[in-house]
Amino acid sequence: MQTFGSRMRNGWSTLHRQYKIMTSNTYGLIGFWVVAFFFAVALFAPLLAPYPVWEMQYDAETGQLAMLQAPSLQFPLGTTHLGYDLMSQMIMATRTTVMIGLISGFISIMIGANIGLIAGYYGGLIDEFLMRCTDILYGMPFLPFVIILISLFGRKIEFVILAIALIVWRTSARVIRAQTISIKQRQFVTAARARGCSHLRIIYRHILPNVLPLLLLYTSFNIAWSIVTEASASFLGFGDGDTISWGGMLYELWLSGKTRVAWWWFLPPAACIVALVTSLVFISRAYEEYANPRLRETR
Amino acid sequence: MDILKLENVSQEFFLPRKFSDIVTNKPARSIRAVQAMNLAIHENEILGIAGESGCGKSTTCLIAAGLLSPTNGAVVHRGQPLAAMDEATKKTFRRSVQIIFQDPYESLNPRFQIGDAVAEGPRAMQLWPEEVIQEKVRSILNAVGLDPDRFMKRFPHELSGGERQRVGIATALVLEPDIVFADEPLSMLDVSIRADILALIKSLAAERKFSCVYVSHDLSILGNVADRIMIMYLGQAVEIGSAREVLTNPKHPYTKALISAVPIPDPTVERGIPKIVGDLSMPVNTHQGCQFAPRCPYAKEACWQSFKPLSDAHAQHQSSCLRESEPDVVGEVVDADRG
Amino acid sequence: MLLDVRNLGVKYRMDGQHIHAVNRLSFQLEENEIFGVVGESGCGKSSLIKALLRLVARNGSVEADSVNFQGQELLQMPMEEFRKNILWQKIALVPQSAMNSLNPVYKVGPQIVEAICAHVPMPDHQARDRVHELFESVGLQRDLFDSYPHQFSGGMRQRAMIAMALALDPKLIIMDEPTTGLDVLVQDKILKTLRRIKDETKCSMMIISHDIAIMSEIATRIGVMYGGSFVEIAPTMDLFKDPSHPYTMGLTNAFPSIRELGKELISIPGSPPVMVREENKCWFEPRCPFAADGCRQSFPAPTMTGANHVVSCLRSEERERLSQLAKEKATWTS
Repeated sequence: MQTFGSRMRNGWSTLHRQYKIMTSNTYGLIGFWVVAFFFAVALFAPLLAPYPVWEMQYDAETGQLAMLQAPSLQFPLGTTHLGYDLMSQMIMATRTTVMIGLISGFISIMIGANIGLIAGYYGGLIDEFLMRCTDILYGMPFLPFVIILISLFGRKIEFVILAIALIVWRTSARVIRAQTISIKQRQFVTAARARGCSHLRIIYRHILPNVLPLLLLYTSFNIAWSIVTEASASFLGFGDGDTISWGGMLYELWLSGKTRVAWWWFLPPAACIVALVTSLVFISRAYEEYANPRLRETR
Repeated sequence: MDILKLENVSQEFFLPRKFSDIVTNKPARSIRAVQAMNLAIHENEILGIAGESGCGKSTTCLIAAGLLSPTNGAVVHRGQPLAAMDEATKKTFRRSVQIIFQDPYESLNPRFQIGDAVAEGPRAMQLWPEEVIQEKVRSILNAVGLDPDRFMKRFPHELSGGERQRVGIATALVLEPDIVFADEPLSMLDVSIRADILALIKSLAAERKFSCVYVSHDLSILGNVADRIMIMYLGQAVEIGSAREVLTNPKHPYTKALISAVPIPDPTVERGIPKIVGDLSMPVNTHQGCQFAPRCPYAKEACWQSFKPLSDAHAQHQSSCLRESEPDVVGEVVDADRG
Repeated sequence: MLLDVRNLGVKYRMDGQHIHAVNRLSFQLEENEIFGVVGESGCGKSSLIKALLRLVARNGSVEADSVNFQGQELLQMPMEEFRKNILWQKIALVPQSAMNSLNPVYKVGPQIVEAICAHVPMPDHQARDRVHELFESVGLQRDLFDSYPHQFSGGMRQRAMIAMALALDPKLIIMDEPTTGLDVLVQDKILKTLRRIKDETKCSMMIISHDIAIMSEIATRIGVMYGGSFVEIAPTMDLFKDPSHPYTMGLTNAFPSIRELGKELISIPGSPPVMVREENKCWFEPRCPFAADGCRQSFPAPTMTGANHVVSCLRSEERERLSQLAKEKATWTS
């Protein structure tokens, strides 16, 4: 039996392998470190933010409300029209965005992977049913769906996460289903059946490890999509009311009417959205090279 | 006692109907992969099943191993029909009927270490506690000529073709089966290492007393390893008998053609000319009779109408040819060195 | 003499190392003969073909003392000239699994016509006539001209590829495993077709295969390849009667025969080498039951042991005795 120590070592070596894969090309390397950076900021956000987010700040020199100030030493990213420090907002918003991205991303990949595996392996009516569900969701326009959900249940972060996850899983399900179908035909799956493996055992113990590279690729994608989706929803005012996110900051900016004036308010959230999403896509690229078609050893 | 019997087994694959056929209400066309097969596998024998591609030998294998349900007929294991088995008996069946696959590169999960791959069967079927499984794995790896300490932690891509095939054999034999189906186990290996693997299969079969059904298109190998040989053509079993009888005294025109087409690694020997007409036809909704009739130089009207399947009488030399004892058919005996 | 190859070498650069796929290989091809190349995986036969047709990948390099085809040095020739005048015109190739080389969305006949016209300026109808002629000579029915590849069986596709190789009347056709993957009755037909084509067109054929049985039927001379070079070259009859290299002796032991049902098959222990450096030693030595100390020190030079019979073995003088020993299983297992 595996001891706890050996499991830890196995876990570490798996993580290490993932790191090697992600950084196997230049894109992946850049992507990994940018994501790591944002992740670190998100983790230590409360410690990093210089000021409380929703507290109006006063200019140290003039003593006046620091409204719409350009970046300065006191306020490195400037302030909003209501005197809130943008640096603190950015830092806390990073936490929200990253958290929503990760949670939605993981929920969606869980749903997508399982649906893909089960539909692909069993085929027949199960496959038909699951794929038609997917098709229906493809037809679902995202925003009206979110609007309805929010209107019914209120602007809470849980619903935002749920809504995003329910939309984002679609493509990963299709792709993983396709790969499951192809792996299912391979001889080692027939061999596993001959050795007495049950269907579930075959799906999760034999097929899943072979689908894993593709799955990790789509996890990265799904997180990226979740972030974009959240930013879009928040920007249109459907984000969570209490917690600030990058999209939400842009929403506040738009509400204030100062878009054309306050470039320091606009640039950081927009740039960070682009940077984080692009980095996640870079990581996906690195996984794609690994997943596709996996270099077999020369015979 | 027969370990495994196929009784009147047929397997038909239906093709999707064309729209014009649906409209005109024509029945779906089908491929008869296996037709009215009667086969009995004895204890402790090596039975060869030979035929060209598309003859149904692999499908027969899958049906007999319980991995495919036949459209008709029954698979009977030690007197018990497969279809009527309960869960527990099915599990015993699954354990006692195993397969060695053709492609050593494809039959192993690339993500499993060798030790895990061999242990997978016993683990999936929960046969023994883990320590016992480990021991059995080590012992079977030794038996197939692989040092467990060197190989258990390796991955398939680190092994050569011959080594992988030995692992394939180990994964089948660790379950201690009664019957092992070997589907062309040598065809993807280099010639200079085939002999060892063949000898391994032979010696393990004798030592562990399991029967082996060896499926191959290569009659030279079957002549070397099999006790009995069955010849198939387009889903029909056309001849069966002891290896020596079938290869030196074939009764069915197809067998005769096959034998005379096999090249001989000796430039001093001239093989005969296969008496056969045309190219392989597609087995789609053809006539009711003998499938070989379109290519047979001796085919008469009756051959196209009806097919006489082999009965499951034991260890006798039979063929399904309606004209097998007629003079012009018999006369064409392949001249062979009875070596 | 049609083709004279002296000291051919092909090496690839992979992961910072050099792998010699072909190493100090020499042989000659006459007009109007079928030369069989027998070898297993890793012996270098694919690289040999690529070297002769100058199709070696970019990370590989070819060098030789001489590759002389009908008086011309093939390796020195500018690539354009080689492509225009030699490739397909004088030397044609039927690659391995050629059956899968046809474009599935075009009809077979027009594909070949197009290939011909792209190579040699010829009016369309002339090319079509030529293709009909070719179909006939390989035994394909006329109406298959307008069929798609999926309507051809494996054997028919192979014959279509042979037809394509014959299109411009080459002097030499190289065939890589022409019957592997085909059923034995189809193989029989193809072998007959090849013999007939050779008799009709008087071209030479170089057939590469691992199957010594079909070689014994169709080849007039056989070259046994191991570790990147020929270890033995001899007329077919001589090779089987008088095998002079331990590898050849081992190979003949390993093939079952339908005429010798009780024959004991003997494997050669070990597996074929992956060559890394250019070393002066015999590459078969680790698996050879007759290896002596000298075998590890120098590359065995080819020596003539009979009319047209060449062996690369330090102990070739003892071949009669060794070949008797090689027939026993104990020799190989000790």
